[in-house]
Amino acid sequence: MNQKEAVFLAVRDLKRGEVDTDTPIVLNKQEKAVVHQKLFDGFKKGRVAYNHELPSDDKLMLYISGLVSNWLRKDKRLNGQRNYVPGRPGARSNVPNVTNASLAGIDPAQLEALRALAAGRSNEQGATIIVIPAANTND
Amino acid sequence: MKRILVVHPNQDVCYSLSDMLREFGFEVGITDTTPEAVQVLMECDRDPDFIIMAHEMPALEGMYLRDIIAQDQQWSKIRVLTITEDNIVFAEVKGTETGFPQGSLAASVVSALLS
Repeated sequence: MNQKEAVFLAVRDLKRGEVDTDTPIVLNKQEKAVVHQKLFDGFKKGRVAYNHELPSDDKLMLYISGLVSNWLRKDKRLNGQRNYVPGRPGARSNVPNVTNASLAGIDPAQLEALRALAAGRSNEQGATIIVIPAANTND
Repeated sequence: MKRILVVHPNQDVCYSLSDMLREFGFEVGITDTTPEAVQVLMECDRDPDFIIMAHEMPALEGMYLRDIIAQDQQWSKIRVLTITEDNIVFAEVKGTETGFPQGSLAASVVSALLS
C-alpha cells in the first residue's frame, strides 16, 4: 500500500464519517498517537511501502509525523476537499525577491568560487571546497 | 555536483534562491514546510551538502528542523545556513555561528556558502 493511502486509511478508521467531507480533519494529540502507531506498525510489517531500508524507530516515528502532517494538508479526502497550494507566494513581504540582478554587487571572484563549489572542485580563492570522491558523484 | 536543499515558508525565496543556485551548477531541492523537509531528507538517494533554511521554520512534533538535523548522526554532517527574518544569513564557521549581512539575500547566501 502506498503511503498516501496508508495515512488516509489510518485516519478514516479513527474518524469514520468525517473523511471526504467539506470539513478538514483535525487530529488531537491522542488521535495523532493512534494514527502514528498504526502507520508505524504498517511500516514495520511491510504493509506500507518504503523505498529504502527502514530507518531507526525514532527516525521512522519522525518520518511518520511528517507524513501525516503532509497528507492531512494535501489529500482532498482529508483536507476538506481543498486543492492544495504549496506555500503562499509573498507571504512574508519583508523578504526581498532574490533575482540574479541582486548578484550585481558581488565580487566576480566570489561568483567563480561559487561555480567551483557547485562543481565540487577546488578554486584559487581559498574558499572551503570539499571534493566529493568519484564514487559518490552522479555527474 | 553539490546538492542544496532550500527550506523556506516563502515560495518566492525558495524559487528565486533555487534559480540562482542552479545557474551556478548546484542541484537544488526546495520545500516550504518542516514535514516535507524531513521527508525529502529521508527519501533522497544522497544527502544534500547544504541546507539553506528559514530560521523560524515551524516545529514538527515539538522539534525544530535545525534540532532534528543537528541530532541526527548522518544529517548533522550537512552544512546548515539559516536565514533570519532580517535576511541575515547565519552559518557555522570554524565552530562559531557567524552572520553574513551583505546587503542582499543573494550576496549573503553566496558569502555564507563560501565561508
